[in-house]
Amino acid sequence: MSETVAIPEDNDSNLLPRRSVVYCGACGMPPEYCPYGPDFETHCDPWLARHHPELRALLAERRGTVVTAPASVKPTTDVPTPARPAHPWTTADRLTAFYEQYVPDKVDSVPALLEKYAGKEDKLFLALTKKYGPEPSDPYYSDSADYDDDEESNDDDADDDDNRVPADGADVTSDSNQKNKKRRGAAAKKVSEGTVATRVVVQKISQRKRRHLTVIQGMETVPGIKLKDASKMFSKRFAGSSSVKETAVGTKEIIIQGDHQVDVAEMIVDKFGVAESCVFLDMDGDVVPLR
Amino acid sequence: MFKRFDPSHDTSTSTQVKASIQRSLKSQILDRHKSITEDTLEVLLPKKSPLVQYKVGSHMMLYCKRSEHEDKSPTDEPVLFQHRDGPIMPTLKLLHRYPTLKFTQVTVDKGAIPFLLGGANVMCPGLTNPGGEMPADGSEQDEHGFDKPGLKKGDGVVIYAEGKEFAIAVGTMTMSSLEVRGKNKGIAIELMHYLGDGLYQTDEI
Ligand SMILES: [Zn+2]
Repeated sequence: MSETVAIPEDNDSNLLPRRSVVYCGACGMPPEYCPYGPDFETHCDPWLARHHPELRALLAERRGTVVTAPASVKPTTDVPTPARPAHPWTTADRLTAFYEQYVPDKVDSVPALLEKYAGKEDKLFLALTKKYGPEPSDPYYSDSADYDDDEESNDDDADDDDNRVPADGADVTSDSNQKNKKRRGAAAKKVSEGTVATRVVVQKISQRKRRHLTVIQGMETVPGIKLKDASKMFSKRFAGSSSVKETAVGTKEIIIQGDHQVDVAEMIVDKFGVAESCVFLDMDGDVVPLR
Repeated sequence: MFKRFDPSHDTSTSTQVKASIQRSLKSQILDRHKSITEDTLEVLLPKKSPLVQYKVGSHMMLYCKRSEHEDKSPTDEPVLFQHRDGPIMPTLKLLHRYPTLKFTQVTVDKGAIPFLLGGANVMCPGLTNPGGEMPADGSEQDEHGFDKPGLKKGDGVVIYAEGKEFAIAVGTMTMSSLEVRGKNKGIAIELMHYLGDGLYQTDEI
């Protein structure tokens, strides 16, 4: 909070006492509300531990939580979400999870595969999903109900227990699964024809008074990604609103509130499996490679 | 109402609030929020430093305190707002800073917290469940001898949350507190401003 001027109000502090309020440096909320945000364990709690350890201890006590090292603080009892991993999957985690699900006896070959397909991970995952089925979802991003209801996990369920009888509307279920599969097939085909080169540009736009937007262009050139889903994941990860807009030239862009340029670029590499060489940062007009 | 508020797009240019308007803002607040005294309000909004107002969209007026700076142009900190001719209500950051400034208030039970943080309206059970609170009905009677509700439809309220110190939202009653207790169904408070919305993120304009 910027206390820009000393207002003479302080002379009348008996009538209207003024207090300085601590707001979370990570999410901007009063810290007692941080546990309701998506970044409590990864951002808020570490910030609080560093800057206001006493307040952190007090709030944890009110929630009935034992205070330990920041990373291992469990979610509060009144937030009914399971504990989340501290970080999203790396490409290696992602590949391991895939092999554990579909070909567990070949998990050992993961390091060799990563080496062989370095820089071409997107192609590797595309080939694997075509051969075996949809990728398992990263538990880091599946912390809330609407993500569990994601189409891909529905597919997983259907594949896993074919014998299970749905409670009602069995036809509807299988129908929608087919549709999803078709869509994914079509998207995959388009890419395998090599008509689109993957190229994603992440740009930061500064507005007045410390307000920023992060704009991602070219996500539609990434194989197998739905822009709406991607937007939803960004919104969740960066605790701000995110939307898909059509540009004047007919391409699509994702706009996220706040300055997350580098974090977004890294997430595109780590989470969406886009090769680093395909991700660029727009630094005030200069488009530079991520690394 | 302020979910996607962004001062760089959504505000008009500022104008200084006339002394007569500032007086009527204060008298309306005193009239609707009985715990606030005239002396307190004079400290908060001194006669000698007029507020400035920004028009937001076509139906919202945002009132701000102006700070002058030597090295840059003045900045305006949002303190009050009014939608159409609805109640004049404070911003959450103003309320947080002055713990004794008591606008008429309610408390929602903790189950409602995640919904309010998403900008959802307050449903009746959020106020009537254990942990929820509203002013009592029937402390006064009307001319026919019927109990008067603690809160009337259209009253502006500050919303606190069970077990939390800081106000979570500001809203308008869509039914009286008598009806909320009686029906215990549907929307009780239409949310105007909540933690995390665009107005909350605007420290200055
Ligand atoms: Zn936080």
